[in-house]
Amino acid sequence: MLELQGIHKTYDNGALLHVLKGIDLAVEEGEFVSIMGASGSGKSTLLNIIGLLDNYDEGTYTLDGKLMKNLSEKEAALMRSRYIGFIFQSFNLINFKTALENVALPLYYQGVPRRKRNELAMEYLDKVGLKDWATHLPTELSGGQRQRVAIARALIARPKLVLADEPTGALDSTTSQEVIDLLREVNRTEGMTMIIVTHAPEIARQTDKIIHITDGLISHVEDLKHA
Amino acid sequence: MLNFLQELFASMRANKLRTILTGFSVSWGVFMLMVLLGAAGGLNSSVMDNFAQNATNSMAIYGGNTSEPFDGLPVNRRIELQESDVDMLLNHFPQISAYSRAKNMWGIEATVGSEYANISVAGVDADYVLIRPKKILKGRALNALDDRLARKSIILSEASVDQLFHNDEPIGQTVLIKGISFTVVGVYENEGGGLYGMMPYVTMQQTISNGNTTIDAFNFIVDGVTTRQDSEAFQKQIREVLARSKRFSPTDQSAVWVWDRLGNYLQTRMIFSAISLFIWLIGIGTLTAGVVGVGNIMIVTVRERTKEFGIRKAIGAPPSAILRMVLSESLATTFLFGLLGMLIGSGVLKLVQMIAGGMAAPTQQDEMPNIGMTILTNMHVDLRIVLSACAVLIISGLIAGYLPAKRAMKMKPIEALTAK
Ligand SMILES: Nc1ncnc2c1ncn2[C@@H]1O[C@H](COP(=O)(O)OP(=O)(O)O)[C@@H](O)[C@H]1O
Ligand SMILES: [Mg+2]
Repeated sequence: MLELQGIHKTYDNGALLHVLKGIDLAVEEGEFVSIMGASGSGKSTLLNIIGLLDNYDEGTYTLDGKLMKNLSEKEAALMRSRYIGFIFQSFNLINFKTALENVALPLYYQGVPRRKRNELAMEYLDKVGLKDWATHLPTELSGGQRQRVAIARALIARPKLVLADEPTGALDSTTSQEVIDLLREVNRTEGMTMIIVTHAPEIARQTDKIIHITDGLISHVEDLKHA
Repeated sequence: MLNFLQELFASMRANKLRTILTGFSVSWGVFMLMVLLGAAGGLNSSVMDNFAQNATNSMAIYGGNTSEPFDGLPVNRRIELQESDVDMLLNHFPQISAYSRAKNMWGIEATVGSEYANISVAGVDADYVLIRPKKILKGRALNALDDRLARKSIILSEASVDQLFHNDEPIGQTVLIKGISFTVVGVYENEGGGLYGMMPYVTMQQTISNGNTTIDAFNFIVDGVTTRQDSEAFQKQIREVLARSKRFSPTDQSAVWVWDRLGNYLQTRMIFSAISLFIWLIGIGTLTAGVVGVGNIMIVTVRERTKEFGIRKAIGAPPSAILRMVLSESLATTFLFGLLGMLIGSGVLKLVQMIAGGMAAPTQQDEMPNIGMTILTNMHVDLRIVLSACAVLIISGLIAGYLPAKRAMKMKPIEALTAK
């Protein structure tokens, strides 16, 4: 599905900060992978590069066989729109839009007509168990519900790759488990590749593979599936 | 397209207060522009109307009082115009192509049967209509035959007719003035109303006047005078000729009064184009301030909504979609509120026009009608101005939104997402 070779990333905010120091990583189609590591080790940076939200300085990144290098913003947007769904720790829903509208938004940028968009959005809200909350604004929903709306939004365009940066970071343990169950199920039934960043070992243990990052390098990979 | 509009209005609704605040400055700008331009238009057409009623290349001379001693003669000497002065001037200045002497008799009693009215009657020559045209409502104007035969013809203002004849047909009827019968040959419209009448000068001299040859005014049209310089030069010549024959200083401006319509017209037109220009500048300045306001607020908007744009980018919005979104929001705001300002502006203009129309009071014959009121009544909104204001609005909306939109578009998605 995707392959990274010797990825380097340095931030330059006055002082240079070398965050990724040569990441080599391959993720197969349909895999459910977690990334763990100390705070500041570069997990988010890595995920953002994979998600084409940020660029990298050195190395190669191929997604679905295509080299992702020096993409224009337009090309990157097209790739994101076609291939990638995002789930964030802070949900990142648009506050003035209802749950349904939030879920439908990715399809808007794919030029899907409104009626079709809303139909699909309702279907996905149903999948995450929030059909009855379709007309509610994010502020009227609980954290767990918001994250499920965000998941529905990430899935609606049927991306090949779903990236989640600490999706349960803001949720209690019961809700966290529900969210992970949901992601796991989608991974199983739809075969979407998933990469989630997490701090929680009990969540990481439920994935196929744990990638440990220490100080900008992959220190080791735990293969739970074939263990 | 429908999709796009729904998306646009959703985000405008979501930021109601800001949209309204932004919009208000534009409404205000357009409103000011409308009212100012309306006033300018009103001013212009009032003044120009006023001139249009009279031949623009006409002049009038009235008697006056000397203000400079001359040749041993004292100041404050009365200078009267005489019939002989007119003959002399006509001899001297062949470029005078039409003229009329005028003699006024104020408030004399006219009776028709048991009805009477105190009307002011002017004795004029037939060419008077060329110099100060009056609208004939019924019958005819005084003509050269009236003059030649010294016919006892009279034309009356509407108000005089109302008072003397009520609803009866006045044309052909007889009016008794100082015991002499005059035949009503016409009814004319007098700006501002009033009880007035006109008869041939020669008739007046032979009938109701005291018969002396002093006249109140000498009105005439000069050919070949088109610029202010021409008219000033001509005025100077007239004064010199009159000064020589009537023995006053040629530089004495008050010995005779010269009313120079062309010079006045040109000067007024110049002043009014300057005022118009000034008003345009103010209007455009106000509008510009509005546009700059929109631009500023759009910058703030983009900053506030950075995170939202980041989210949109993350879920697949291309940069062009973000650009289009900000631009069209700016455009829609400017346009909707501009339209509102335009509506309120024309509403106010209409209202003022109605109110002022009711208040424009009747005034004296041949005087300028209450100019303030006339300006207000003449205030109007030119369609061309409305259309150009629309064009200005669209362009300003685009300009105001462009820089902020560009900024929003250029931002890297991750920077936008992590912005607080
Ligand atoms: N935009 C940025 N500019 C400068 N430094 C950054 C930026 N984003 C992250 N960093 C720094 O890079 C390091 C790695 O950040 P991150 O990838 O967010 O770590 P993690 O997600 O593993 O906690 C941190 O030290 C962080 O402060
Ligand atoms: Mg992080």
